[in-house]
Amino acid sequence: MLKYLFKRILATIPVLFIVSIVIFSIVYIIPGDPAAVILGENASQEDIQALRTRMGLDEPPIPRYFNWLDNILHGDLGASTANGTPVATMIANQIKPTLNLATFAMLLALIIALPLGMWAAYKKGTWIDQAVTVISLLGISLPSFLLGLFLIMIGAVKLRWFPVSGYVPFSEGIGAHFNALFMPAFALGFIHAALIMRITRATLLEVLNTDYIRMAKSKGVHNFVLVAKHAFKNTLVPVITIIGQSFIIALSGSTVIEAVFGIPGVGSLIVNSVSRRDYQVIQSVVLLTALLNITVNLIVDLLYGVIDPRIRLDR
Amino acid sequence: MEKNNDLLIVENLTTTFNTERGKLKAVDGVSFNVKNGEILGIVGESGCGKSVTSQSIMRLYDEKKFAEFKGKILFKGESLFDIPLPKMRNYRGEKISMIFQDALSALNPVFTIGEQIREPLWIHHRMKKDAAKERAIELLTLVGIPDPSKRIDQYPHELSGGMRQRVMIAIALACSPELLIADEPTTALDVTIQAQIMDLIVELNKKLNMGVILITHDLAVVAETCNRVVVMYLGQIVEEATVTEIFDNPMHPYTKGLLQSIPRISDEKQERLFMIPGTVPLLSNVPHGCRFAERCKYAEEACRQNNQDLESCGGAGHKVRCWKAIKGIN
Repeated sequence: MLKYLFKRILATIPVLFIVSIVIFSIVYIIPGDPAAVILGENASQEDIQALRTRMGLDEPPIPRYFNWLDNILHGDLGASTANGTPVATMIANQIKPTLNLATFAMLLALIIALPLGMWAAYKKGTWIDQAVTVISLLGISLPSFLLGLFLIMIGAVKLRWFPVSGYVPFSEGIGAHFNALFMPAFALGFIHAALIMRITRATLLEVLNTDYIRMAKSKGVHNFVLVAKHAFKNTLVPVITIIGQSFIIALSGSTVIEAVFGIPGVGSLIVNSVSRRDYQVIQSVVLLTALLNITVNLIVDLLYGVIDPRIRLDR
Repeated sequence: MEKNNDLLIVENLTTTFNTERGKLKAVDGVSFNVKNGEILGIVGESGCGKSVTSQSIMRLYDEKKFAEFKGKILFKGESLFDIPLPKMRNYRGEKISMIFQDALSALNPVFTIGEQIREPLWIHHRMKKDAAKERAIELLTLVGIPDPSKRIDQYPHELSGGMRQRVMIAIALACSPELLIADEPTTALDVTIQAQIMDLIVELNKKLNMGVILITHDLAVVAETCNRVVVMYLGQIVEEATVTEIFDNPMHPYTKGLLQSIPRISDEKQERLFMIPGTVPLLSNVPHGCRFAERCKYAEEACRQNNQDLESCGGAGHKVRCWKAIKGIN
């Protein structure tokens, strides 16, 4: 297990290396002089030249890349071109709301999706199954921002149960925190709930048709235990794959929901940085996202081994 | 024969499945009985309804939408179709248990062998973990698995095919059932292991005095193990007799065909192996009259016109579904 973990971590190095090259090249790939774009149409030639020097664009790209990489490896993400704040601080300030939002969204998605997906499979062909199918179709076809607006209309404006927008940090009270986060998390998580529901239903249907389920039934196992224990553990491998992917998508795709609900997360950081052409920030956030992707996938792979003993991790 | 000696009586069992292609009668009016401590063989080609018969006894099919049962199944005098479905769980694994064909697919891949053996003990006897573990080790020893205290923590994929089949037998025996249904228990195994597993089943049958229904397509296995045989064809019983009767005096042309298809090394002539011509008709297209007529070399018009009944013929409970055999014409 440890050997496997070590090997997997080692294998991420070339991936991160390639990703870092791509990220670094953004400045050079995007047409136009970044310094001129940042300063706008009315900037003087001297100002542009000064910014170019400050951004290091005058230096040759390859030594610049290694310098940049060296800094990152030492934990120095550089400073924002726009206002000079260290990028690490900017990200640290805004990642918490995004992390909390995405995690809560996934939890909601799982709470909705797993029982409903299982129930639908168990009651295949009944009205319950059809209702679940309709819900999941709805979840997949409804854009999250639209769902967010509906939720605001109903939950905040009509019922007044939740605030219209805004973020309440955890430190200001658990209740208020979750209350403020519920609607954005629901809007963000519903599409994932729909996906997980579909996968759970389909996989469970397959598993329920296997010999070992018939065997368990012939041992006198109660129907509920049959589904919740014998079948469920066997459906987890494909389901957990989707959960991992959903989590990554929820984390890196929360921008729209953050905008709709006014949450000061990484999403708004990205939007602001892109409009300001703040390459230093964009590069760091993209690199962080890649790292996150790799980590979540690694965790999912490790979980495979825990769930299914046939998947040997040390080979 | 005294009636009270019967462990299981199946009377006129009909199992119908609702499929996309309409209703299919997989088992059509099957009757037989299993006495205490007896091994009854059910023989037939794939699709003849032998597995459906056994799973109908345990009511394993979804009765709400998929399967319909008719007829009667009496287990120790109690009608299994009359008890509410949730109560059936008290019978499954406790009084009647089952061994499946392919142990690799019938054992749950994500639970250890120990967990799978302990489960029926917990369900039916509320046996605590330590006691159940002890019993599990005892059972593994009984079915001849070496080093059981180590095996108990292993997963099915870590064992060989023969071992897995033994584990499945151990699970089936966990609660000392009175009836064991073995559905082609040796089909997925190689020949030497097959013999070992069959010996084990016979030995356990004697030791524990439980009734066994052995489902197989292999008449050689039947010859070595069973007391009586039921031969099935397309959802019906075509012949029923003691093992010696079946081998010495087969009456139905289908049984004869099956017997002739067994390769014999002692034959002096270089003969080609006998083959029953044609294939089993589809359940959706069951022929009128005798179901075997299309493949039978003795068949004539009367066979295709009239339905055949299973009738007693000769002594010792020999029954056959063929009017020509009964009249001794062929």
